[in-house]
Amino acid sequence: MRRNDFLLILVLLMCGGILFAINMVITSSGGNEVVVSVNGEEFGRYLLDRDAVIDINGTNVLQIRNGEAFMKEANCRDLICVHHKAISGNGESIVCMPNRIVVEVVSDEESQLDTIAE
Amino acid sequence: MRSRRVAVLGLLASLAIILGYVESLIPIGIGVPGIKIGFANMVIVAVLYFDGAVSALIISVIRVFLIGFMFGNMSSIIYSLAGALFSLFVMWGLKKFDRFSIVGVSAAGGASHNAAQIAVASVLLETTGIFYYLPVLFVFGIISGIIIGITGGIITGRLKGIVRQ
Repeated sequence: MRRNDFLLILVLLMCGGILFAINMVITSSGGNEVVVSVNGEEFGRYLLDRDAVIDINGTNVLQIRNGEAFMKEANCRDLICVHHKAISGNGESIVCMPNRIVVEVVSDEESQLDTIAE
Repeated sequence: MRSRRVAVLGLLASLAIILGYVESLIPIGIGVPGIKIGFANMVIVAVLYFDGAVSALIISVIRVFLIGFMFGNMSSIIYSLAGALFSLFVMWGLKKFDRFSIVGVSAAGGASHNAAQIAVASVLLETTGIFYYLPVLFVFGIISGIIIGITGGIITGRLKGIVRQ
């Protein structure tokens, strides 16, 4: 290993740190709605303050409880989405790659802006 | 010489595939999609160093398609190909630049591999939500790249003696 390697790795880690900081700023404002999309198309929107159990096409089950959303069940092999921590911050998401499902938290302001834009 | 090269590349490609399979048997359940060390990349990094970018590219593409046909599907092939090609391009460029050793080059390769996969996933799943995973995958890519670089360096030294007799 050369001295340049340490510099390169340091610069890379700093880039990672900046990315983490950006993420923290975005997710620090809590969202109040989750958007579920399958194959890039919107499947449904659900309010975080209303407890619910949502069946997504029979492949996954999303549960909303105490203002947080988490994947309760999935029929995929790796179960990464099920192990994922519950999400509630703006921009946080759970992805189920095998079933091409994305669950993302958004804040109301954003969806209001979307309606205005439409 | 030609048939010797074909044999050696075939051998290394199968080694990369086996390493990829061995890795798939080890579960790392920390709830983030796409987290893995990438054992197969040890071979790619080593080949890049002792036989050049063209051989590394050939082995990389063969590996992605064969692993994809055996264990994956079309979208997993696209993710893997994007990561493999982009990280190889970055590593080839940094190696040409000749300021870094195999460890630094591999660290940058790991980070760029994961960044490319996220970019492709956001296009395929038509969502920007997946960029939420970029920081953790980026940093994990650096760490796994360092591990791959160190082991790849050891492999390079050993393979040189065997392959180029």
